[in-house]
Amino acid sequence: MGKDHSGGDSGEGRKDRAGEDAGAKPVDARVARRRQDPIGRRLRQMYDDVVSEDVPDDFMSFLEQADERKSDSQTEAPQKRALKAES
Amino acid sequence: MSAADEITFKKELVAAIPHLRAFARSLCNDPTQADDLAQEAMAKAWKARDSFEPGTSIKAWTFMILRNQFYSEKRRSWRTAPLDMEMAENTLLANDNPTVPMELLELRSALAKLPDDQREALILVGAGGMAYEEAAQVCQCAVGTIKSRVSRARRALETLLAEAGSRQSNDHDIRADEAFNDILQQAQALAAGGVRSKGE
Repeated sequence: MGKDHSGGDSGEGRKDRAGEDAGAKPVDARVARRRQDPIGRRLRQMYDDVVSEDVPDDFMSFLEQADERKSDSQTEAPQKRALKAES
Repeated sequence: MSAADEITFKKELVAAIPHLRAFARSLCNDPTQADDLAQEAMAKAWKARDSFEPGTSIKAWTFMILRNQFYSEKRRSWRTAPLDMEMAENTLLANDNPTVPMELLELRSALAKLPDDQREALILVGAGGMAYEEAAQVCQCAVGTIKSRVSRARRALETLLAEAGSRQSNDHDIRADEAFNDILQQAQALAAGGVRSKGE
């Protein structure tokens, strides 16, 4: 039951968590306990606040560049030279 | 890795990015440094994609990469400088933003006082909602170890936050309280002097 995170349930990256919670009974029990726990709420809020932020462009552009490097192996990778060693 | 596997991997990696950022932020505290760390971890994960076992948790796998990187690069801003200008700047940023309540600052400063291993266990399980087994995978230790770290961390945090709470309501001159006010004053001074010109 991924409902304890209802704030941003429509967002991405929630699938895994929802799957986790639905999967095992012990986790359900823990989630239920945490729901009435102010410290747990604050901890989750701190974390979820960041999860719900927009991902900065450089993250996606890195992966797009990784694609370009693959299709055109000589394409320059200005951001992460370390990855030139791959393939 | 086949082309199809690679597409799947990439999709999962993209879905993990917000969590990588959140985990990094909890380790670094400083948002810029945290994003650098998360991005490096993502790049490393991509480079090492052939060693990922499809069907296992990509979140745990990438978190493990991020964590190893964090400790190997000794980005220990939590431990080395919890009360320095960086912290003051964070306080300032938080104060600029009315959606970040004071209690979150309290939480961050209490977390800073926990030992590294307890803090990360609590963040993974209590904040990130990871199963103990996954958290154990991230920290490369036994499940029982994670459980005991989480419960010790929770108890310590409860005490710290209760102290912070009673300080606030009493409004007495207590050392830690002064330290906190000091941060606020630094932050206000920074605001008055223009914090963005701090050479960054």
